[in-house]
Amino acid sequence: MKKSLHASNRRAFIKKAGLAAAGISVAPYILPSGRLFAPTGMRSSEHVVMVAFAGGVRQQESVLKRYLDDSQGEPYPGNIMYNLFDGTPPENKIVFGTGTGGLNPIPSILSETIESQGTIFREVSALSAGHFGGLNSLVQGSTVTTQGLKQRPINPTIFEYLRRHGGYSATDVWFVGNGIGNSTPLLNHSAHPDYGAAYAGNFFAPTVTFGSTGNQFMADAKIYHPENELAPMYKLKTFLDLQFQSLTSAGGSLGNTEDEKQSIKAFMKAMYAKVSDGTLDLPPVTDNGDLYTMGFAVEVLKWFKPAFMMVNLSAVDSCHSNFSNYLAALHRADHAVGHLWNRIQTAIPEMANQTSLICTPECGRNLSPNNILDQNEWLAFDHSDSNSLRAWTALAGTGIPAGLSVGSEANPVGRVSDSMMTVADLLGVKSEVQAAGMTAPGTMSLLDQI
Amino acid sequence: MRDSKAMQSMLRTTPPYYGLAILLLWSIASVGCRPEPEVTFELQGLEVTPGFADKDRLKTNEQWVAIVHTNLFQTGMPANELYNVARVFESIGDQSIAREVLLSNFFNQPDLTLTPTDEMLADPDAFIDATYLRFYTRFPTQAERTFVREFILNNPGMTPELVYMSFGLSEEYRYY
Repeated sequence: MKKSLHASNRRAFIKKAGLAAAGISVAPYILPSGRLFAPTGMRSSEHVVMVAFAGGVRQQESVLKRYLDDSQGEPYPGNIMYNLFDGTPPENKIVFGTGTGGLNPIPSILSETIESQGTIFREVSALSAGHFGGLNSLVQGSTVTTQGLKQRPINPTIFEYLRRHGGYSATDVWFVGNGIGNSTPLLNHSAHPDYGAAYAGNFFAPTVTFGSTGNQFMADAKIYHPENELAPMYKLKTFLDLQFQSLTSAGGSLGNTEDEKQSIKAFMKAMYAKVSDGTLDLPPVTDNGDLYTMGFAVEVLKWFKPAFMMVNLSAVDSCHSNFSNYLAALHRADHAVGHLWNRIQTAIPEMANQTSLICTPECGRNLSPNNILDQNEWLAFDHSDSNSLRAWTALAGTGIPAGLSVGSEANPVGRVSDSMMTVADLLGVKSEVQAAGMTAPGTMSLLDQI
Repeated sequence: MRDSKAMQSMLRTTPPYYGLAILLLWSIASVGCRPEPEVTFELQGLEVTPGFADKDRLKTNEQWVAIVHTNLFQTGMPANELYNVARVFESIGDQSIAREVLLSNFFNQPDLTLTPTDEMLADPDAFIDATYLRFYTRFPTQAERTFVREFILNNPGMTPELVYMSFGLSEEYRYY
């Protein structure tokens, strides 16, 4: 009888242990996304690319196409962003192109502008007149008064919403930064206790990672055999970590799976080789950092085909001290977007005709100039007045009506923070983001405002 | 001998209890005059290292890189290089990938000298103790030593490089 009782207990123990082991093996696939089921919203686009057309862009030289007319008191209007907007370029006082004095405008890449392919919100409101606040409004959908520089976003970012509520993997969401200054590397996830690093987007500042400095320390990395070398190495590491974690609470990684990590490492290796060989998919003109950043962003798209990628540009910030350089940077940012959209449609078949594009500056620039003159004796502009809160948003691609114009100078429609909600809308997590209740009041998808 | 005769003469000329007291004093004095033995005191060779329970402060990227460079190359990294590596780390979102790529880059450097694999296999316990001290500044517990020993001996592909990689990438190594 006693023996039979022991046998019964043993069977029960084995059964429970088996169930527990099964639970442990299944749990990691449930927990990272925080849910068992697919998001409730309808996903209307397979891929979304958001360009933070950042650095502070005046309405006057961009969507309003006034060139020097509204800045230097010289009667020369014209469109220097002809990949994005319809309109003829200026005919006189050309300084934004290539060559000595910038006399040669860069030819358009797109045969049809983003404006004619999609929808332009001509007058949207920025939430902040500063760069970091503006970028935070793009990734968080809000600005928080206690948000400081050198501090992770306080509220969750779009990367975290997508991963937590949409079940997207870490390599499905990317943030490609223009550099590591101005706290840019902090924007790929928030410090929010319910979200955070475990739901972060992957991040590269490629001009640093794959530039000469990164090349010096990272390019010569070994590629280990995944089964014979890496598997036992990780196994031993896991043992060491378990010993440590039994007494501490160490942790906090981005949640890339081992396969994703291997893919990222292979991508890095490939990028160092492409930089060395000169085979990066760069725009036709590459004479500033934004253009290199966009070239690497295209490489990220080609390699990972992510559901969401945000790329940050910033060269137009030269406007604080040099208006001519600002015009050149604006022209190049447009060139970069043209290259991006062209490569998505022509060089990445998995993304062609299945991708939505959103471009928006994080903030505008002042109406009145400061006192700094450049080489053409043109005055520079900072960003602090009400004109700095004027911006625009361009959308195109899957799920976006073509040839539509919404709002005007007299009738602003939309906010900069709406871009983030539009991404959530296109990728099927809008209701979850709204339910979380951490976006700025009134923030809504731009698709709901058409 | 002379002392003994003097003692007998004294006993004859003094009362009996005086003699007994003198005998007692003499015996005490003779013992007290023995040469002092040479005694030396030593500490037992027991090395005391911090346990991992005390490590609760996360190293910065610069600290981690500086320490791992010193642990591997036995020499410090120049300050300007350290600054540049930290910048590269900032440019990569997943810091665990940055650490792994940097470490594997270090292992590709010709000036890095590693323990030969046969030396590790000849005396795994010594290798394990040295590795724990090198990376964790502590000795392994008996359970750790046993596990790592068996792991090394039962995985033919394990080399000192891969063991160092495991330690260098481990969570405990990120803390001090």
